[in-house]
Amino acid sequence: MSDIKSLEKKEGLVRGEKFRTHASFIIFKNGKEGLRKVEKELKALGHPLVLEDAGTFKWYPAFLHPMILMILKDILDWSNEDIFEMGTYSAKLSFMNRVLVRYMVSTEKALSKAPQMWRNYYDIGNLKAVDFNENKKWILIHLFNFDMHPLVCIYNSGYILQSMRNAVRGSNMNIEETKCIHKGDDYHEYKVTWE
Amino acid sequence: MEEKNEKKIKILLEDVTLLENYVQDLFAFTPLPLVFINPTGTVLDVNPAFTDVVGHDAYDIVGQPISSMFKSEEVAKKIMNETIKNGSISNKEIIIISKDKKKIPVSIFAKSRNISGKDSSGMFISFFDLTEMKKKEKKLKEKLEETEQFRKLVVGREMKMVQLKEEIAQLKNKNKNNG
Repeated sequence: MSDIKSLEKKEGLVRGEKFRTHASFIIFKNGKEGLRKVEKELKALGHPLVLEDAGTFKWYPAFLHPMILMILKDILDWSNEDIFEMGTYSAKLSFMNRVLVRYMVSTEKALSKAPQMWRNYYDIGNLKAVDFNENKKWILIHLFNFDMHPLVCIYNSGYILQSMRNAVRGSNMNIEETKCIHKGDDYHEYKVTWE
Repeated sequence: MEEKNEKKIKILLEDVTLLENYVQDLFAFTPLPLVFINPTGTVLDVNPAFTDVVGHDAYDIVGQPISSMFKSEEVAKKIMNETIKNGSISNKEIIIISKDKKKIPVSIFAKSRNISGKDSSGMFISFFDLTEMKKKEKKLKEKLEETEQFRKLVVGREMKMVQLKEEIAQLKNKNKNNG
């Protein structure tokens, strides 16, 4: 937990809806007791926040997101798979995703609106779908100027995968982070493939 | 000026949050099963009444194709195409398949959501579970059949009795004449 406080130096804002879906998934996995433990730890770190009451459209410090993920690993013993699953859960049950569904009329439209959809959640980072090959069945997504934490990359992988499942008809969809700034690359790259 | 704009934004955010709560509460309260799908037929939203009937919870079913709940992909396509073409459909009887593979007879309603009156951005689907109604219909049919059989039996006997009375009367007359 020693580097958890260093996260406070990270700039940027994120919508409160992120924390509401976090709360929902934590309860799903560990019950209300688990959620209380996370909130207690957040308070001890100087960031009291009742996750379920976070304003959907309100802006919060973006560093709270990786902070919560680190707490989940440490206090509730979550694995990377759990973090990934939380990403898919958030994409499934996000109110904002449902409200923004007007972009989901086609895969092409959804992908063209990806930068705008990202901006609805974060005021930092730039996301874009750089390549979409319907015949070969893959999509390449780049995320620039987004430096949070490797756990957030795992979460984002789950989120992006589920968002693609919502927008693209295809079976056995998979995602791989093929480039990562935490591994020395200039940006994050996610490749989504399906059958 | 900036303070005024900030105040306006704050009020707007509060209003949007109130609206969100209203929509969420309404969706959760509605006793009719409700599902929202995108134009490719992927489930994007379900309410608790829907998950109660089909047996899948929201986490399992969101992101899945709606066709997995119908008898076949063709049935799902037909419903979607008809809804997009006509704007809505109502009272169509079909079978949906629950998580435990139970076949549930339902009367389906659907309405397309359009962007600026043009492209469909998906559709709401709702249905009435007809299981209990079908059971009562079947019982009623059985009762009617029983009643009909009983009626035939009783009427048959009545007719027979009338016939016998006539025969007796004829025989009596004959006896009298032979007298």
